[in-house]
This record gives sequence, C-alpha cells and structure tokens, in this order.
Amino acid sequence: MTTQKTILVVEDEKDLREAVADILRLKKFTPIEAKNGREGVELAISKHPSLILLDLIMPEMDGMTALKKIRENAWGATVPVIILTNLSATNEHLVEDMVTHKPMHYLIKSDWKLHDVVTKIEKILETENV
Amino acid sequence: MQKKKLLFTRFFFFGLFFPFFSVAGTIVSPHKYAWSDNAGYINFENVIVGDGALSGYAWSANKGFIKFNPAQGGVFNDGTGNLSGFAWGEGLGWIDFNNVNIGGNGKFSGTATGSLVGTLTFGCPNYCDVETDWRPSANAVLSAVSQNAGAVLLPAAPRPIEPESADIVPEAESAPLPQASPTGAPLDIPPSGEEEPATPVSEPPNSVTVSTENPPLFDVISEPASTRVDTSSAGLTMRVAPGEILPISVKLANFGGGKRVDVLVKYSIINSAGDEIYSTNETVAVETTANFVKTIQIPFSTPPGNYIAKTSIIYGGQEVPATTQFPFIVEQKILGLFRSEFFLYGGITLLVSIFAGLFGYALVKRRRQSRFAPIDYSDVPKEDRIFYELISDTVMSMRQKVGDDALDIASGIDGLVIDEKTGRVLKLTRFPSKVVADLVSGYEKSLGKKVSFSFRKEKSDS
Repeated sequence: MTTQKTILVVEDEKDLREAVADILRLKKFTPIEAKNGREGVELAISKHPSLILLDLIMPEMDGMTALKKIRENAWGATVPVIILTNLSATNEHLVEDMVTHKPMHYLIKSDWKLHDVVTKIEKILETENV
Repeated sequence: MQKKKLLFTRFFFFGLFFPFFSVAGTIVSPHKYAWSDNAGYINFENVIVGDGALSGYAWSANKGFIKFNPAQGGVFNDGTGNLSGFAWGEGLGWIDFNNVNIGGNGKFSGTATGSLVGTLTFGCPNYCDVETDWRPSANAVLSAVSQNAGAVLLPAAPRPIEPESADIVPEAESAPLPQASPTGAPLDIPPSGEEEPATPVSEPPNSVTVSTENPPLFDVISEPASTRVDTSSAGLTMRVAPGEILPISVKLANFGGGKRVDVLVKYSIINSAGDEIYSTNETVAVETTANFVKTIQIPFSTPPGNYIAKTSIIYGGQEVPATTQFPFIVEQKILGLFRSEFFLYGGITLLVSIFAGLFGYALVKRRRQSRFAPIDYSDVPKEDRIFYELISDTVMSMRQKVGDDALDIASGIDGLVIDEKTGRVLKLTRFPSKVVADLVSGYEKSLGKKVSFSFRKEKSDS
C-alpha cells in the first residue's frame, strides 16, 4: 500500500489555490494549502511535503523569500519546488535568486493549464521517487 | 515394345491370309469432316480405308496435310474397324489413332489425340461426322463394289512395313512423340501432285459465281487487332469500355482458289448469357485471301462483363459453316483508366503516399528532435554552466514556438554570443543573470510571449 504524497500549494488567490488542490485530490495526492509565504514556510517545515507549488507575489511574505527560508532548512534544501507566477523573469536579481535556490521549473501562469502543471508534478515525483 | 510386336504380328497375319487382294473404302462425301479443338475442321475426303491400314491424306485448312501412312508410322486397321497407330500432320505432328473405331455402319467414332492437334473428334453435331463406305471383315468387298465408291486393289497386301520401320513405331504410352518430321518422311511430301491434291475436292458448287471444278472453301480467322491487349491474363483478352472501338483483325482465305467470290461477313457481339447484343455485316470480295481490320463501336449502354466477338461468313456453295470468335471484356473507365486499373493504381498511389507521409513525418520528427535536443555544456565551468544551460534551453524552447526568429533575437542580446545555426551558447561576456533577464525581456518585447524556464537536474559528479 502506497502512502499518498503531499503537495504544498502556496497561493494567495483562493480560487486558484482551491482549484489546484481539487485537481491534486483527483490525482490521489494530498494537497496542503497556504495562502501566503509565511504559512507556506511553516507548513513546509512542519509537514515535509513531497513537492511545493509556490507563487511569487503574495502578501506578508513573497514566494522567493519563502523559498530562501525553506532552502535554509536541512530538509528543505532538496525538496522539489515549482514556481507558478505571473511575474516574468526580466529582473536580473530575480534570475540570480532562481539560479541560487534552484526551483525545478519557473512557470508563467498564463502559459500553463492546471492539468499540465499537475502532469509536471507527477513526472517530477516519479523521477525523484519521493 | 509389346505393341510393336503386336503390329508386326498383325501384318504378318494379314500377309498370310489375304495375300492376293485387299479392299479399300473411301470417305462418303457429305460425311468427311472431323473437328480438332486446335486446328478446326479437318477434311478426310481423301483418306482411304483399307482392311489393314489407312492411307491417303486428310486436309486441314489451317495446318495442311495429314498423312496416314508416313514412313515411320501409320494408322492401321485390324479388319474389324479398330484403328491403331499414328498419322503425321505436316503442321500437327504425330496424331494417335488408337482410340478411334469404324463401326459396322462405316461411321468413325472415338477421338484421336496429339500434342498439337489436341482432340480430334469424329462425331459432333455440326458437320463433324466422318463416315466411310468401307465395312468390317467379309462385307468389305461386297460393300465396296456395290456402292461403286471404293477402290479394289488387286493384288495388294496391306501396306508393307519393313521390320526396321516397325521397330520404331512410336508407342502410345511412351514419351511425347517428336514434333519434328522424321527423316525422309511426311514433311517431304509435296503440297500438290497427282496423288496428293493441293486442295480438298468437294461437291459441285451451287453458286453460279464460282468454278464447278474448284468450288470455294473459305476459312475465316479473327482476333483482337489492337495493341491494347492485356497479355498479363491467361491468353489474350482485350478490354474495351462502352462506346469505345473494338478492332477485329479478319483473315479470309479461299482454299477453293481461283475465282473471285462475294463473302458476306457477319460480326456479332454476344454476352455471357449467349444473347446477341449487337451485330453488323458487310460483303467482301475475295479471290484468294483478304486481310483487313473491322472496327465495331461497343454500344454505350453495354454493361460490364465478358463478351465474345464472333465473326462468321456466308458465301455461295458453302458446305460448312466458318465461324471464328474471341473473348473480350467490357469494363467501365474512370479518369481514362479501366475501373480495375484505376483501383489498382489508385491503391498503389495511396499506399505510396501513406508510406511517403509516414517516412517524411518520421524524418521531420527525428530532425526536430536532434535540432531541439539539449546541448551539452559539461565543458563549461560549474559556476557558469547553469546560466549556459538556462539560456540555451530557453532559446531552444522559444525556437520550437517561433522558429529561427528566436535565434535572431538571442544573437542580438548584449553579452550573449551564440552559434546562429545551432543556438549553442558560445560565450557570456556580461553578468550572466543580466543576460538571462535581457533575453526574457527581448522575447517578451519582440514576440509578445512570456518565458517559462526549466532547470536541468544537477549532475552528481559536477
């Protein structure tokens, strides 16, 4: 019997966050929802999800700051992260942060369907065998 | 070998008991034709039936003379009408008469066979009933004399055969008989002469247009006259479409010779049910031979199927029918091709197209895969490698979406040097993060498309 894998969804837009969570449930994952970066860091450190889906622009704590804090944790240093944002990487500091903290994908929301995002999650977890 | 002995014994027996005379019969004039499925009608009029053997000649308009007492063969009569042995036809080779009998009424029965003559039949419905006035055993003499139609040969033993000749009489059960003429024999026979008439003699003609001494005897041959003959099928089968012209090559030969005769030639198209669907006729004047091509337009309403083109002739003084025919096929055409050819070639074209399409698709896919395959940068120092990979993969990703414009845009980014054909990053001359940001901005401005990234999985050994 295989344990359901946990996916942490850090997204301030409630509709989008719940939609992603619903699809993940359909795919037999266990979604954990966080509405900002701070909650995301807390849940990540406490729940040790298999993968984190992270928005960048959020209240209280932005996604990149949250990613830095997660990476500072021993467990979080290697956890797969997918950034799902509307923010283009046209800023060199953002690029530098990405290269430093190494999310697996940097996906623009408007270019990706949720089902395709979930498919990427499935592939990563199959490859990582988390 | 046993048969050779039997033949020799047979003649020894006849020589012993009938040394002084032999009775010969002739063919009864109206009953003189046999039918060969390969050579057509054969006239036996000049064949002489003896108590011991047959002699004289039969005549085929198509294949020439058939000699009944050739040097190395011969057709023999056991005196009761049972024939045996072989005749030699100059155009027909050896003909086996072992299965031919002459009945008490003088009628021939059974079949003679040969590799060239096929089956020679003596009793069939139309003008195919050879009959002699010769009668078996003791009746033969009386019969011949009373009818005043035979010839009494005195004294004459049955046709002598030297022992050496008898030894090489071919056996019916042996290997196929030679098709070439035996040495000094039948083929040396002159086509004309006092004993070997050039043409068969027939009854005085009824027509006033021909000589009473040499009446007309016609043969007709017709065959497809077009180059559009389908030789791929068995035999020669012509195909025409409704409304097209069917050319028929007609050959008329007057074996009666001499006089010009008006011949009515009738052409018929007969369907597979035996119904005549079209006919026409014309009169042709023939003195010796006439060769011409007759064209018949197949009616537009003719349904597809198998048909027969039949040609027959009618002329004054005609004693036997002369008919020839050949099969042909009527088939609809589609775009100038016969229906079967259309589907055949269409099918082949379709298969070739599908194959070419699949091959082309596979080729393009393979080329595309090789074109957009990730470029290896393991030779680049580790601290810069992630930027090289990030830029290279971004360029490839955009190239897949917008084509080679992605290369042009990338090559215009300050601080980025790439191979303009492959997209390989050659050098970064500015701060790498700045180059990546400018590249993303360039794509957004030029193409109106936002850019997503994927980071390669870090190799454990790097």
